[in-house]
This record gives sequence, structure tokens and C-alpha cells, in this order.
Amino acid sequence: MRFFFLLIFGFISFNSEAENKHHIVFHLQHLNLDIPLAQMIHVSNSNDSLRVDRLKFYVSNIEYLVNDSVSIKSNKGPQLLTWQKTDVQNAKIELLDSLQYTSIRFRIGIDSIYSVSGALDGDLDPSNGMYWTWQSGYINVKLEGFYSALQGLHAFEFHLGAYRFPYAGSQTLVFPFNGTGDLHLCIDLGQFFKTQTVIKNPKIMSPGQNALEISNAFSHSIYLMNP
Amino acid sequence: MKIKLLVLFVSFLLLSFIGIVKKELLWPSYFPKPIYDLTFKSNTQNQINLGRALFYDPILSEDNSISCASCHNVYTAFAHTDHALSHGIYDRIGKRNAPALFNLAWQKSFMWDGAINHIEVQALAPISHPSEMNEEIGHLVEKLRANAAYQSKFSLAFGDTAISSSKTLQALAQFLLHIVTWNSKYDSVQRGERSFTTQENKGYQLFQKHCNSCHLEPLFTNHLFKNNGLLVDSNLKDFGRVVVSLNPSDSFSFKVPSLRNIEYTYPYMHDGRIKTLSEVLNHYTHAKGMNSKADLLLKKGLPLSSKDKVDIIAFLLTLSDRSFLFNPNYNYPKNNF
Repeated sequence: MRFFFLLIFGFISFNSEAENKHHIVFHLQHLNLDIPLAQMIHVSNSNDSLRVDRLKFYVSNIEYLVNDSVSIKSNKGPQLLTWQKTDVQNAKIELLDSLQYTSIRFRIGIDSIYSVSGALDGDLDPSNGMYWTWQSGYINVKLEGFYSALQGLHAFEFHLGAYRFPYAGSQTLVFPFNGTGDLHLCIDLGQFFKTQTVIKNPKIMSPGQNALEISNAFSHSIYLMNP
Repeated sequence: MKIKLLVLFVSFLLLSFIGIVKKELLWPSYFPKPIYDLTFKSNTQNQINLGRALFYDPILSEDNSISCASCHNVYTAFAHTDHALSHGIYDRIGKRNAPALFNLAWQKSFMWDGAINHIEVQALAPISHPSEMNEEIGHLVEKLRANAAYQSKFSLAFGDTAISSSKTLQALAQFLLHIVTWNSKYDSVQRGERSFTTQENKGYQLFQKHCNSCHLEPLFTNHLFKNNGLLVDSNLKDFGRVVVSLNPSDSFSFKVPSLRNIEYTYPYMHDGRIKTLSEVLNHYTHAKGMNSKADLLLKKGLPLSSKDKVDIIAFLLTLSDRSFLFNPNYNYPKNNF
């Protein structure tokens, strides 16, 4: 099964001027076109299609590296990125400026310390829908929608997260980045849906081995785009 | 100097009166130090008052019909006496017994399976559970923001009018943390104020020999999860702690409950299947009724005679704290509604 669907989310711009803050602009695209959510999009030659109703995930622990060594760590807490319904949202993450980097490292998901710290505010507010209620702990990635293939139309719901060993599901990514200009990343859900664990387990609502593998597949679907 | 001290003293009295001085949690010398770090966040009388109002208010449920107190009755040690399983909105029935609530500052985890790791997020479980309150925390916050009385209470408790889910949960937690019981006959014996009767003392000796490893004094729980030998209910299909820990050795394990106020918290066990203390002890002496993975201490059945059981129950009744049940700080806050 071949997919050509690309969900682009990374657009990071840096500027050393205070009035023009560095930020990340998240942009959803398919074949270089902006797409609204809640529409079926063909993702393969065999007419397999995909509809994303909701995509949310945390980005945290942003670090700026110089030759693989941490130059500086962001002191900001986890930030929640959200695509929902028909929105094509711009979201911003402020980054540090005036430094030279060779790469940037961050985590998809959050550190386990936040999952054992009680009731928190802001992006970690439980009303954001990213906190499990039947058990403690944050959901790192929430991806919901429908997938249509020869076998029929299937709803998928991935609530991926865990903070306990050995299933802690946050994933660390590193991309080359020189500290200037923009960093473009995309999420290739076509690639994501090639993963057997994803296909076989379209509803994951709790921690475990499957959740861990699917978290891994999600982070591996994120690529550096050419400028 | 005297004037300065006088000003300080008067200021303290004034702050105490308006409820913004940090509220200290008290416990007897023979208790361990609480697990919950009470110095981490502020906990004032106004926050406790707010939490108490929320605890008794059905606004927490989707259709404004069920409050925390619906299943946690102060007069039965915040348990749901005579109800095996928790009751929710639209007469929905849950799959576990509503546990008694007290001495929660000494608990590391909450719920029968320990799924909740912090008291501040505990309330999210019953609020959102479809068979309990079936409410979304975000919608609850909207209802509270639209309520003039709560606008005032939140302002008093937190110093500003902003109402959030974290403040709501913190206030509930502060009230729950201050629900403490340590005034039973057992406690007065520990303090040297009273003595056990001969029968109670015999029961105490038997308890220490056969029960204390799990129901550890003075809290009467070791806060661990144990398989107490109960057979799995074929309707409820509740496998306990394993669902949270994903560790097969935790199959059929549930939290060891405290035995304080056990006189009032019937029916017993995680699904309320046993109605009396006598039947509980009969279960623990009946090896053939145990599941195959029962804790080793129980697998062979406890060697207790009928008289031993009566003596143990006599001791267990010394764990009742009536001053706790009728503590005016814990009951329905009439003045708040």
C-alpha cells in the first residue's frame, strides 16, 4: 500500500529582534496544498483515503545543540499543538534566539514528572483533553479520524501516552538546524499507516506495548523537509 | 518591641479569621509523616471551604444530580454503606465499591487499583466516569464560572476571580487531605488514656499476628496491592491492579484498605460483595474459596477459631471514631448553599 499523504507541521522561523519573536508555525499540507481537516484525502494509488478529525500532541524539552552537545535548554514547559475539526491552525512556539546551533532536539510528548505532579495549568490543564481520567498521566499524542481502504471504512483513535517504565511513550527527535532561517518538518501519515501495529490496532486508548510501538511510528513519520 | 509583637499577633488573628493563613494538618505522634507534601502548595481554610462546597455540590455531575457526597457519606466514614457498587447519574451502577475517605494525605495512590497517582487529579476519575458523574472537567469549569457564589468562593480561596480546573481540583484535594481520623478507642489506648478490655486485647494480639502485615498499624493499611483470594466476579470481570501496572503478577490485586471505621463502611471488598465482618473473616479462613493466585499469607487460610474471629471483631470495633463521623468541619456546609 502506498501513500502520498503528507501532513506538514513544522515551520520554524527565527529572528533575533524582540518585536519579531521566534516561533513555530504549524501548517497542514497535502501535496503542497493547504488542506482542511474533516475531509477524506486520497493517500494511495488504490484509492485508500484518510480523514483526520483531531490531531494533538505535546512538544517539550526543546534543546539547542552545538556539535551534539547541549548549548542551551528551553525553560518552557510542554506546549500543546492542536488541529481540530475544520481548522487549519497556526500555532506558535517561541524559541530562543541570538545563539548559533548545529541541531535542535525536542520531545514529542512530555516528561513523566508532569504526570505525577497533580493538577496543572496552561497547556497541561486537564480540560485540554490530554489527561487520562481513569488513570493518571498525560496523553502525548491524540490522533483521531477515519481510514478508508479495500476492507472498508474504519475509525481510528490513537491516544498515545504513558509515564511508567517500560512503556513511557514520549519520543525524542533531533534535526540539523543552524539557528537561523526556518526549520520545516512534516508528518507523513501515509508512512504512519504503513506500520503493521497501526493497521492492526486502530483503537489504542491505554498504555502498553502497542501504544509504545505506535508512538514510535508517529515520531518516525516526522521528516525534515527541504526548504 | 511589644507593639510589634502585638501587631503581628493581631495580624495573624485577622488573617486566620478571613481564612488565608496556611492550614496545618495535624496528626498524632505515632503516625508516620504524610506522603503528600503539604508544604508544596498553599492550603488555606478558604481553599478547604471551597473544596468542601464542591464536594457536596451536584454541580460536579453532568445533570447536576450527583455529588461526591452521594457515594461518600460523612456519617459512615465517607463510605457508601449498604451499597455494594457506586451509584452514578441516571441510576447507573459502577463496578467497584465506593471506598471510605480519610487519612488520604498518607496515601501514595488512589482508587482500588491505584490508577491515580496524586490526590489533586483523583477527582477527575469520578467526575468523568460515565457511570458516575459523566461530566467533562472543562464543562464543569464553565458551570462554576457562571455561578456567582463560586466566583466569590474562588476569589476568597485563591485571591483572584479566575476559575480553572486546576484550582477546582486543588480545592477538592485540600478538603480531602484534611479529612483525618485518629480519635478511636485504639488511638486513646495508644496515647495511654484508656485500656482495651480483655476481649479487645485478645483480638488485638490475634490481629497483630495474622492481619497486621497488610493492615499495618497505625493507619491499618500498608498501601500495597494484594490478591486477597476473592474469585473474579463473572459479570464485573474486574482484574484489578494489573490493568494499571500491566504486570501479570498484579492480577486480581486490589489496594489493601484501611480498617479504621470498618464498623461503618460495609459492605466490604472492592466490589462490596461481603456484607459483614464475620463473613470477611470466614473468607480469610476458608482456603478452598480462594482463587489460585491468592497472596501466600492467605492461600492456606488463616488459622482462626470461631472465638478468635469474635475477639478480632471486638478489636476492630475499637477502630471506630465517632468524633470523626460527626466532625462539624466535614459535614454538609449549610452556610455555603
